[in-house]
Amino acid sequence: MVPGCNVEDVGFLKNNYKNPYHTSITSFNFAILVLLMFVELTKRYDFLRCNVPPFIYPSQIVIPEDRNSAKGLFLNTRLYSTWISQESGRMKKSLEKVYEAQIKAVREEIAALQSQQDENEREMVLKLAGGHMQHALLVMTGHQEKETGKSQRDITAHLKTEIMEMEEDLIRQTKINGIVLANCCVKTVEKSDKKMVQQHRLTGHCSFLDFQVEFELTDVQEDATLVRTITDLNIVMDSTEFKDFSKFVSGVEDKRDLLLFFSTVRRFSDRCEDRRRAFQHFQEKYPCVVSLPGGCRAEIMQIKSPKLAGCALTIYWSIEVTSEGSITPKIDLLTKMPEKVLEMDSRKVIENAPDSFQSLLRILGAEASIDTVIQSVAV
Amino acid sequence: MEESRKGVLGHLNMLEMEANNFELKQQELRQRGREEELNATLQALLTKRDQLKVEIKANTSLQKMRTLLDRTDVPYERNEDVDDLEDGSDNSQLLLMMARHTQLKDLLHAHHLIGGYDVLQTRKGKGVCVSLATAYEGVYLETYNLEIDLGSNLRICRHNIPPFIPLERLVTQGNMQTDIRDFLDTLSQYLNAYAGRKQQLHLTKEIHSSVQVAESNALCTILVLMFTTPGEKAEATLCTLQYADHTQRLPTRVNIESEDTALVSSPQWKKNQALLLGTPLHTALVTMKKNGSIA
Repeated sequence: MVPGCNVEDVGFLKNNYKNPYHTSITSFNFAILVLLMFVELTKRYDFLRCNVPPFIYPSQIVIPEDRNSAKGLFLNTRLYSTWISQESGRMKKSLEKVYEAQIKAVREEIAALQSQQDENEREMVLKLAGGHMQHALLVMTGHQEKETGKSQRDITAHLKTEIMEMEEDLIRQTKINGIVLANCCVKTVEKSDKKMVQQHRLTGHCSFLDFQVEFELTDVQEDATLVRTITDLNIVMDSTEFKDFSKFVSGVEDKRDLLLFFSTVRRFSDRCEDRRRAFQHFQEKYPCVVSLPGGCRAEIMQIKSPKLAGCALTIYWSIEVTSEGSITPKIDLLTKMPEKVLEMDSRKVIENAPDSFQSLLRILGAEASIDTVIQSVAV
Repeated sequence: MEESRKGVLGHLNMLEMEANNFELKQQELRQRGREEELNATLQALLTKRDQLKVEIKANTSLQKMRTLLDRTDVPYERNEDVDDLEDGSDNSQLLLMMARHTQLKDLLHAHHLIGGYDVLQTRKGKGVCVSLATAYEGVYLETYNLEIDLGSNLRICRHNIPPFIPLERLVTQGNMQTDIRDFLDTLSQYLNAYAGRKQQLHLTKEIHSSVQVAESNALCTILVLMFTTPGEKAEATLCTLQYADHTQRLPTRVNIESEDTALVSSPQWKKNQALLLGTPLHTALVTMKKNGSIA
């Protein structure tokens, strides 16, 4: 017996050469499992499996010369055992080092994973979600029912209810705000106890006006109040045909006036809708007289008399937006008459028509005034 | 004597050996304790690492799902692409729901951020609460609330709108009954203009210590400012700003008075007057300071 070793079945030499032979050294927590095969012909033996740490792999152990005799085999076993028991002292120290090295490696791995996780959190704020989302997240990350205290079916049901409520809520907000938000992308740039900076990108539309808005939102907790500011506002709109509007947009960007932008877009599109409704109404009512060369959303409506060739009146309905967001519809009447007609117009009715139209507008309002003009031509 | 000495030495020797043995055993124990400690630390770290890996995986698939959801405008129940993404397990359905949840949450928050009315049903649908946010130059300011009774006739039952905002007039003269949004838009314009004027005054007081605010009203529609002109004479100039349009943040009239009558009619001050009419007060004053009109 080798001290410090627990050699099982040393008597195998007499009894059964073919049995596996275990040597375990308990003093350093590792058991070496040696399977010695006594093969009659070659009389060779070898290690088959062992769970000794890789840095002390059995192949490093020198196998004595006298490997063929039974005596040699026994001696060998003892030699190994002795060797290993000596080695165990050295190993204890290296074992500590192995542990420490492994701990360091795992710590590094965790740090890398943590930063990846933090990056993920920046992309999608989940931690704040709470409630059923938190439970769902636990299920997703393989936590058992016991830990969450709720069955997956319960969680799914709750989440479904919440989603339905939120969908209804979204419909309500969309309806009252008159603004459809199709997409919202939020990215957290900075986050601490007192300050949070997030980048938002919104796409959507208000009636026929499409927009993409990007802004940075900074929330700073100052004592009991939350100070919320917008820095860096960027707006992209498709409708380039509205010259007034693009000027307004660049002004809003400079002043980071997000709220003014949206309230103005809404009021502007409402006025555009008024014009479209009016133009379409007149085209349907007087199809032979009224034409809309630029479509129903354009600023121009033409009135041509079917009887008087060359005589045309144009309604120019523009919607002006100031940099401060006030919106004023402006309707003008333009005339186009042949020279002859103008010569015959001794009372300068045509020449004064635009001014008269303005007075008419003041008295009757837009639709009735335009109707009057059309009727005077159509009859 | 010899024997006793031997006996003593032998005894001491024995004691020393025992102490050595004890020391060895202690060392052995310490060693084992240290190993166990290290092993425990390693195991705990490994568990943490595995947990993180799972969380990251869940998070990544959630993000993928969200991107997919954002790209396709299809309602999420009928999204077939989704089935290809995950292995069709129970979790994929949950994942889809979670992605939709985050999407809805973001959209609702966005509605709030853009100054939405944050309509909220109260009293089991018999009433609604609406919020009117105000902001000026990127800074969110006060939010005002209204509770509207949804009877046969819409009626405002509670609100925290300042008394000098003509709420009653807007209710009676406007078209609140037929077009609630138009009414809210107008009210919001009043509130935002008020908040904007107030903020300009606040900023003016903060930035321009040389400018004295002699008079102002609660609605911030009349401001009387006192400027000191630089130079030897250092004469006081009185500037009155009037905001006749209460839905606007810029004055409709700017009046400048000074003992030095020549100053008021000078081209420089004509320019200043135009500046005050067209730009926010605090920024106009910065320009005026730069061009040497005021101290």
